[in-house]
Amino acid sequence: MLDLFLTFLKIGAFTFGGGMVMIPFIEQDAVNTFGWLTQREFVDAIAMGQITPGPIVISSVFIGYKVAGFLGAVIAMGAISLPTFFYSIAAAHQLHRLRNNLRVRAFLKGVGPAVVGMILAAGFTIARASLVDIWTGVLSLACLAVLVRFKADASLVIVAAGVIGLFLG
Amino acid sequence: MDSSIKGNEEVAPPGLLQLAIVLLKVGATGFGGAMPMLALVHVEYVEKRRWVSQEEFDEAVMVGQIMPGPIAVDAITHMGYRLRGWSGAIVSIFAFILPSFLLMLALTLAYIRYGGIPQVAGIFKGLGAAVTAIIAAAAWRMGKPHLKNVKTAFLMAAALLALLLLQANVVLLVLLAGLAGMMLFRKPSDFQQGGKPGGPKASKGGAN
Repeated sequence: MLDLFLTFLKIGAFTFGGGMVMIPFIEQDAVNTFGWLTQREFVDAIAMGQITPGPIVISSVFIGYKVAGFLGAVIAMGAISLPTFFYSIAAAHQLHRLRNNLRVRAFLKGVGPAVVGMILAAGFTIARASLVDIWTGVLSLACLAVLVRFKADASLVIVAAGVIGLFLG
Repeated sequence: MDSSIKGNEEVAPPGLLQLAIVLLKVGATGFGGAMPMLALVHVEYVEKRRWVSQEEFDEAVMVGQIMPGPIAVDAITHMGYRLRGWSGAIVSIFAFILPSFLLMLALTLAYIRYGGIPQVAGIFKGLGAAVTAIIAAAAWRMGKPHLKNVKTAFLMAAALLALLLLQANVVLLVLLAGLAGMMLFRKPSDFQQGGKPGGPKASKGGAN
Protein backbone atom coordinates (compact mmCIF):
# COMPACT_ATOMS: atom_id res chain seq x y z
CA MET A 1 0.00 0.00 0.00
CA LEU A 2 2.91 2.31 0.78
CA ASP A 3 4.51 1.24 -2.50
CA LEU A 4 1.29 2.15 -4.25
CA PHE A 5 1.19 5.59 -2.64
CA LEU A 6 4.86 6.39 -3.27
CA THR A 7 4.79 5.12 -6.85
CA PHE A 8 1.80 7.22 -7.83
CA LEU A 9 3.16 10.22 -5.94
CA LYS A 10 6.35 9.94 -7.97
CA ILE A 11 4.44 9.59 -11.23
CA GLY A 12 2.38 12.67 -10.38
CA ALA A 13 5.52 14.61 -9.60
CA PHE A 14 7.37 13.93 -12.85
CA THR A 15 4.82 13.69 -15.65
CA PHE A 16 5.80 16.89 -17.44
CA GLY A 17 3.68 17.44 -20.50
CA GLY A 18 0.22 16.17 -19.65
CA GLY A 19 -1.68 12.96 -19.10
CA MET A 20 -0.28 10.89 -21.97
CA VAL A 21 3.18 11.10 -20.44
CA MET A 22 1.85 9.11 -17.53
CA ILE A 23 1.60 6.00 -19.70
CA PRO A 24 5.33 5.12 -19.93
CA PHE A 25 5.70 5.97 -16.23
CA ILE A 26 2.91 3.72 -15.06
CA GLU A 27 3.99 0.97 -17.40
CA GLN A 28 7.51 0.92 -16.01
CA ASP A 29 6.49 0.84 -12.36
CA ALA A 30 3.12 -0.89 -12.19
CA VAL A 31 3.70 -3.48 -14.93
CA ASN A 32 7.45 -4.07 -15.06
CA THR A 33 8.73 -3.34 -11.56
CA PHE A 34 5.88 -4.31 -9.26
CA GLY A 35 3.86 -6.61 -11.51
CA TRP A 36 0.58 -5.19 -10.21
CA LEU A 37 -1.04 -5.88 -13.56
CA THR A 38 -0.29 -7.59 -16.85
CA GLN A 39 0.50 -5.72 -20.04
CA ARG A 40 -2.94 -6.72 -21.32
CA GLU A 41 -4.69 -5.36 -18.23
CA PHE A 42 -2.63 -2.20 -18.55
CA VAL A 43 -3.89 -1.64 -22.09
CA ASP A 44 -7.44 -2.37 -20.92
CA ALA A 45 -7.04 0.12 -18.05
CA ILE A 46 -5.97 2.84 -20.46
CA ALA A 47 -8.88 1.93 -22.73
CA MET A 48 -11.30 2.34 -19.83
CA GLY A 49 -9.65 5.64 -18.97
CA GLN A 50 -10.38 6.77 -22.50
CA ILE A 51 -14.01 5.71 -22.41
CA THR A 52 -14.68 7.68 -19.25
CA PRO A 53 -14.73 11.46 -19.36
CA GLY A 54 -12.06 13.38 -17.50
CA PRO A 55 -8.27 13.05 -17.56
CA ILE A 56 -6.49 9.85 -18.64
CA VAL A 57 -4.83 9.58 -15.22
CA ILE A 58 -8.11 8.14 -14.08
CA SER A 59 -6.73 4.79 -15.26
CA SER A 60 -4.83 4.81 -11.96
CA VAL A 61 -8.10 3.90 -10.25
CA PHE A 62 -8.04 0.50 -11.92
CA ILE A 63 -4.50 -0.20 -10.80
CA GLY A 64 -5.15 0.98 -7.26
CA TYR A 65 -8.25 -1.16 -7.06
CA LYS A 66 -6.40 -4.24 -8.25
CA VAL A 67 -3.72 -3.74 -5.61
CA ALA A 68 -5.85 -2.88 -2.61
CA GLY A 69 -9.55 -2.60 -3.39
CA PHE A 70 -11.51 0.61 -2.93
CA LEU A 71 -8.95 2.10 -0.57
CA GLY A 72 -6.24 1.35 -3.12
CA ALA A 73 -8.21 3.18 -5.80
CA VAL A 74 -8.51 6.23 -3.56
CA ILE A 75 -4.82 6.10 -2.63
CA ALA A 76 -3.64 5.79 -6.24
CA MET A 77 -5.84 8.64 -7.45
CA GLY A 78 -5.01 10.80 -4.43
CA ALA A 79 -1.27 10.21 -4.66
CA ILE A 80 -1.07 10.97 -8.37
CA SER A 81 -3.14 14.15 -7.93
CA LEU A 82 -1.34 15.49 -4.88
CA PRO A 83 1.74 16.87 -6.71
CA THR A 84 -0.53 18.35 -9.40
CA PHE A 85 -2.48 20.13 -6.67
CA PHE A 86 0.54 21.72 -5.03
CA TYR A 87 2.27 22.57 -8.31
CA SER A 88 -0.81 24.43 -9.48
CA ILE A 89 -0.95 26.49 -6.32
CA ALA A 90 2.77 27.15 -6.27
CA ALA A 91 2.43 28.35 -9.84
CA ALA A 92 0.06 31.09 -8.70
CA HIS A 93 2.94 32.69 -6.84
CA GLN A 94 5.85 31.91 -9.13
CA LEU A 95 4.31 32.01 -12.57
CA HIS A 96 5.96 35.16 -13.86
CA ARG A 97 9.34 34.18 -12.58
CA LEU A 98 8.96 30.73 -14.10
CA ARG A 99 7.78 31.99 -17.44
CA ASN A 100 10.64 34.41 -17.85
CA ASN A 101 13.34 32.17 -16.47
CA LEU A 102 15.42 31.02 -19.43
CA ARG A 103 16.85 28.05 -17.55
CA VAL A 104 13.39 26.78 -16.67
CA ARG A 105 12.34 27.18 -20.27
CA ALA A 106 15.50 25.41 -21.48
CA PHE A 107 14.78 22.56 -19.06
CA LEU A 108 11.23 22.21 -20.33
CA LYS A 109 12.36 22.50 -23.92
CA GLY A 110 14.61 19.51 -23.33
CA VAL A 111 11.92 17.53 -21.52
CA GLY A 112 9.24 18.19 -24.16
CA PRO A 113 10.70 16.09 -26.99
CA ALA A 114 12.00 13.45 -24.57
CA VAL A 115 8.55 12.67 -23.20
CA VAL A 116 7.26 12.25 -26.75
CA GLY A 117 10.01 9.68 -27.32
CA MET A 118 8.94 7.97 -24.11
CA ILE A 119 5.29 7.92 -25.17
CA LEU A 120 6.38 6.37 -28.47
CA ALA A 121 8.37 3.71 -26.63
CA ALA A 122 5.31 2.89 -24.52
CA GLY A 123 3.31 2.83 -27.74
CA PHE A 124 5.54 0.06 -29.08
CA THR A 125 5.08 -2.21 -26.09
CA ILE A 126 1.36 -1.48 -26.04
CA ALA A 127 1.14 -2.30 -29.74
CA ARG A 128 2.86 -5.60 -29.07
CA ALA A 129 0.32 -6.45 -26.37
CA SER A 130 -2.78 -5.31 -28.22
CA LEU A 131 -2.16 -5.97 -31.93
CA VAL A 132 -2.37 -9.72 -31.63
CA ASP A 133 -3.78 -10.66 -35.01
CA ILE A 134 -4.53 -9.23 -38.43
CA TRP A 135 -7.85 -7.61 -37.62
CA THR A 136 -6.56 -5.74 -34.58
CA GLY A 137 -3.65 -4.49 -36.70
CA VAL A 138 -5.93 -3.32 -39.49
CA LEU A 139 -8.37 -1.77 -37.03
CA SER A 140 -5.55 0.09 -35.31
CA LEU A 141 -4.27 1.51 -38.59
CA ALA A 142 -7.81 2.55 -39.52
CA CYS A 143 -8.20 4.29 -36.14
CA LEU A 144 -4.88 6.05 -36.61
CA ALA A 145 -5.90 7.26 -40.05
CA VAL A 146 -9.21 8.60 -38.76
CA LEU A 147 -7.53 10.29 -35.79
CA VAL A 148 -4.71 11.97 -37.68
CA ARG A 149 -6.33 12.60 -41.04
CA PHE A 150 -9.80 13.64 -39.91
CA LYS A 151 -8.94 14.71 -36.37
CA ALA A 152 -11.72 12.52 -35.07
CA ASP A 153 -12.56 12.63 -31.38
CA ALA A 154 -10.62 9.94 -29.50
CA SER A 155 -13.61 8.92 -27.38
CA LEU A 156 -15.73 8.28 -30.49
CA VAL A 157 -12.97 6.28 -32.14
CA ILE A 158 -12.57 4.09 -29.09
CA VAL A 159 -16.28 3.39 -28.75
CA ALA A 160 -16.48 2.47 -32.44
CA ALA A 161 -13.49 0.15 -32.04
CA GLY A 162 -15.15 -1.52 -29.06
CA VAL A 163 -18.31 -2.20 -31.09
CA ILE A 164 -16.23 -3.62 -33.95
CA GLY A 165 -14.38 -5.77 -31.44
CA LEU A 166 -17.65 -7.15 -30.08
CA PHE A 167 -18.47 -8.55 -33.51
CA LEU A 168 -15.05 -9.59 -34.71
CA GLY A 169 -13.53 -10.81 -31.45
CA MET B 1 -28.23 37.48 -15.98
CA ASP B 2 -24.65 37.31 -17.15
CA SER B 3 -25.18 40.18 -19.54
CA SER B 4 -25.72 42.61 -16.67
CA ILE B 5 -22.04 43.49 -16.64
CA LYS B 6 -20.34 44.75 -19.72
CA GLY B 7 -16.73 45.10 -20.71
CA ASN B 8 -13.73 43.48 -19.10
CA GLU B 9 -14.98 43.72 -15.58
CA GLU B 10 -15.37 40.40 -13.88
CA VAL B 11 -18.30 39.40 -11.75
CA ALA B 12 -17.84 38.48 -8.10
CA PRO B 13 -15.98 35.22 -7.45
CA PRO B 14 -18.22 32.16 -7.46
CA GLY B 15 -19.41 30.39 -4.35
CA LEU B 16 -17.74 27.08 -3.65
CA LEU B 17 -20.95 25.18 -4.31
CA GLN B 18 -21.36 26.89 -7.66
CA LEU B 19 -17.76 26.09 -8.54
CA ALA B 20 -18.31 22.47 -7.56
CA ILE B 21 -21.47 22.15 -9.66
CA VAL B 22 -19.83 23.58 -12.77
CA LEU B 23 -16.79 21.31 -12.42
CA LEU B 24 -18.85 18.21 -11.70
CA LYS B 25 -20.58 18.91 -14.98
CA VAL B 26 -17.33 19.43 -16.88
CA GLY B 27 -15.82 16.36 -15.22
CA ALA B 28 -18.77 14.23 -16.26
CA THR B 29 -18.93 15.45 -19.86
CA GLY B 30 -15.34 16.24 -20.78
CA PHE B 31 -14.18 13.65 -23.28
CA GLY B 32 -11.18 13.51 -25.55
CA GLY B 33 -8.23 14.91 -23.62
CA ALA B 34 -7.07 18.16 -22.07
CA MET B 35 -7.84 20.67 -24.78
CA PRO B 36 -11.47 19.67 -25.43
CA MET B 37 -12.03 19.68 -21.66
CA LEU B 38 -10.48 23.10 -21.31
CA ALA B 39 -12.73 24.33 -24.09
CA LEU B 40 -15.72 23.36 -21.91
CA VAL B 41 -14.14 25.15 -18.95
CA HIS B 42 -13.60 28.18 -21.15
CA VAL B 43 -17.30 28.29 -21.98
CA GLU B 44 -18.26 28.14 -18.30
CA TYR B 45 -15.57 30.31 -16.71
CA VAL B 46 -14.92 32.93 -19.37
CA GLU B 47 -17.89 33.11 -21.70
CA LYS B 48 -20.94 32.32 -19.59
CA ARG B 49 -19.95 33.42 -16.09
CA ARG B 50 -16.93 35.71 -16.49
CA TRP B 51 -15.23 34.34 -13.43
CA VAL B 52 -11.87 34.76 -15.11
CA SER B 53 -10.64 36.90 -17.98
CA GLN B 54 -9.28 35.49 -21.21
CA GLU B 55 -5.80 36.46 -20.09
CA GLU B 56 -6.12 34.65 -16.76
CA PHE B 57 -7.49 31.64 -18.58
CA ASP B 58 -4.55 31.54 -20.99
CA GLU B 59 -2.23 31.86 -18.03
CA ALA B 60 -3.88 28.89 -16.31
CA VAL B 61 -3.47 26.78 -19.44
CA MET B 62 0.18 27.73 -19.50
CA VAL B 63 0.49 26.62 -15.89
CA GLY B 64 -0.97 23.31 -17.02
CA GLN B 65 1.62 23.01 -19.75
CA ILE B 66 4.61 23.96 -17.61
CA MET B 67 3.75 22.04 -14.46
CA PRO B 68 3.78 18.24 -14.26
CA GLY B 69 0.45 16.48 -14.17
CA PRO B 70 -2.59 16.45 -16.43
CA ILE B 71 -2.91 19.83 -18.15
CA ALA B 72 -6.62 20.28 -17.48
CA VAL B 73 -6.33 19.35 -13.79
CA ASP B 74 -3.43 21.77 -13.33
CA ALA B 75 -5.29 24.60 -15.03
CA ILE B 76 -8.56 24.02 -13.18
CA THR B 77 -6.88 23.77 -9.76
CA HIS B 78 -4.87 26.88 -10.49
CA MET B 79 -7.98 28.87 -11.41
CA GLY B 80 -9.78 27.50 -8.35
CA TYR B 81 -6.98 28.80 -6.17
CA ARG B 82 -7.02 32.21 -7.79
CA LEU B 83 -10.79 32.44 -7.45
CA ARG B 84 -11.28 31.20 -3.90
CA GLY B 85 -7.91 30.39 -2.34
CA TRP B 86 -7.12 27.00 -0.86
CA SER B 87 -10.74 25.95 -0.49
CA GLY B 88 -11.36 26.88 -4.12
CA ALA B 89 -8.44 24.74 -5.24
CA ILE B 90 -9.53 21.76 -3.15
CA VAL B 91 -13.15 21.96 -4.27
CA SER B 92 -12.04 22.33 -7.90
CA ILE B 93 -9.78 19.31 -8.04
CA PHE B 94 -12.24 17.09 -6.17
CA ALA B 95 -15.30 18.10 -8.17
CA PHE B 96 -13.48 17.73 -11.47
CA ILE B 97 -12.10 14.27 -10.74
CA LEU B 98 -15.08 12.78 -8.87
CA PRO B 99 -17.34 11.89 -11.85
CA SER B 100 -14.61 10.08 -13.77
CA PHE B 101 -13.36 8.44 -10.57
CA LEU B 102 -16.78 6.91 -9.91
CA LEU B 103 -17.23 5.85 -13.53
CA MET B 104 -13.79 4.31 -13.62
CA LEU B 105 -14.48 2.46 -10.38
CA ALA B 106 -17.70 1.06 -11.84
CA LEU B 107 -15.88 -0.01 -15.01
CA THR B 108 -13.13 -1.62 -12.94
CA LEU B 109 -15.64 -3.68 -10.97
CA ALA B 110 -17.40 -4.71 -14.18
CA TYR B 111 -14.09 -5.62 -15.78
CA ILE B 112 -13.02 -7.78 -12.87
CA ARG B 113 -16.35 -9.57 -12.85
CA TYR B 114 -17.04 -9.91 -16.59
CA GLY B 115 -13.60 -9.50 -18.19
CA GLY B 116 -13.31 -13.21 -18.91
CA ILE B 117 -16.45 -13.47 -21.04
CA PRO B 118 -15.48 -13.94 -24.73
CA GLN B 119 -17.63 -11.05 -26.00
CA VAL B 120 -16.10 -8.71 -23.44
CA ALA B 121 -12.62 -9.92 -24.36
CA GLY B 122 -13.50 -9.15 -27.97
CA ILE B 123 -14.57 -5.63 -27.06
CA PHE B 124 -11.29 -5.08 -25.27
CA LYS B 125 -9.30 -6.38 -28.23
CA GLY B 126 -10.99 -3.67 -30.28
CA LEU B 127 -10.37 -1.08 -27.60
CA GLY B 128 -6.70 -2.07 -27.39
CA ALA B 129 -6.29 -1.51 -31.12
CA ALA B 130 -7.82 1.96 -30.71
CA VAL B 131 -5.63 2.76 -27.69
CA THR B 132 -2.53 1.93 -29.70
CA ALA B 133 -3.72 4.30 -32.41
CA ILE B 134 -4.60 7.03 -29.90
CA ILE B 135 -1.14 6.87 -28.37
CA ALA B 136 0.50 6.94 -31.79
CA ALA B 137 -1.66 9.89 -32.81
CA ALA B 138 -0.84 11.75 -29.60
CA ALA B 139 2.87 11.14 -30.12
CA TRP B 140 2.54 12.39 -33.67
CA ARG B 141 0.67 15.52 -32.63
CA MET B 142 3.01 16.27 -29.73
CA GLY B 143 6.15 15.30 -31.63
CA LYS B 144 5.66 17.07 -34.95
CA PRO B 145 6.92 20.47 -33.75
CA HIS B 146 10.04 18.87 -32.28
CA LEU B 147 10.99 17.25 -35.60
CA LYS B 148 11.72 20.65 -37.13
CA ASN B 149 14.76 21.17 -34.95
CA VAL B 150 17.80 18.87 -34.97
CA LYS B 151 18.39 19.18 -31.24
CA THR B 152 14.84 18.41 -30.17
CA ALA B 153 14.54 15.63 -32.75
CA PHE B 154 17.70 14.11 -31.31
CA LEU B 155 16.37 14.29 -27.74
CA MET B 156 13.16 12.62 -28.85
CA ALA B 157 14.99 9.77 -30.59
CA ALA B 158 17.43 9.36 -27.70
CA ALA B 159 14.61 9.06 -25.14
CA LEU B 160 12.74 6.61 -27.36
CA LEU B 161 15.75 4.34 -27.73
CA ALA B 162 16.83 4.64 -24.11
CA LEU B 163 13.42 3.48 -22.93
CA LEU B 164 12.77 0.91 -25.63
CA LEU B 165 16.17 -0.77 -25.74
CA LEU B 166 17.73 -0.04 -22.37
CA GLN B 167 14.59 0.19 -20.21
CA ALA B 168 16.11 3.31 -18.70
CA ASN B 169 14.42 4.74 -15.63
CA VAL B 170 11.71 7.21 -16.69
CA VAL B 171 12.33 9.75 -13.93
CA LEU B 172 16.04 9.74 -14.70
CA LEU B 173 15.26 10.22 -18.40
CA VAL B 174 13.10 13.26 -17.70
CA LEU B 175 15.79 14.84 -15.53
CA LEU B 176 18.57 14.07 -18.03
CA ALA B 177 16.50 15.51 -20.86
CA GLY B 178 15.93 18.65 -18.83
CA LEU B 179 19.64 19.01 -18.13
CA ALA B 180 20.41 18.40 -21.79
CA GLY B 181 17.90 21.14 -22.60
CA MET B 182 19.69 23.53 -20.26
CA MET B 183 22.95 22.84 -22.06
CA LEU B 184 21.57 22.88 -25.60
CA PHE B 185 19.29 25.89 -25.38
CA ARG B 186 21.19 28.85 -23.98
CA LYS B 187 20.44 31.66 -26.37
CA PRO B 188 17.15 33.56 -26.32
CA SER B 189 16.90 32.80 -30.04
CA ASP B 190 16.44 29.12 -29.15
CA PHE B 191 12.99 29.97 -27.88
CA GLN B 192 11.76 32.17 -30.69
CA GLN B 193 10.18 29.58 -32.90
CA GLY B 194 7.71 28.29 -30.33
CA GLY B 195 6.66 31.81 -29.48
CA LYS B 196 4.50 32.50 -26.50
CA PRO B 197 2.85 29.33 -25.26
CA GLY B 198 -0.65 30.54 -25.87
CA GLY B 199 -3.76 29.01 -24.40
CA PRO B 200 -6.24 27.05 -26.39
CA LYS B 201 -8.82 29.23 -27.92
CA ALA B 202 -12.20 27.64 -27.62
CA SER B 203 -12.10 26.93 -31.34
CA LYS B 204 -9.14 24.61 -30.87
CA GLY B 205 -11.30 22.30 -28.80
CA GLY B 206 -12.80 20.19 -31.52
CA ALA B 207 -9.51 19.68 -33.25
CA ASN B 208 -8.07 17.23 -30.78
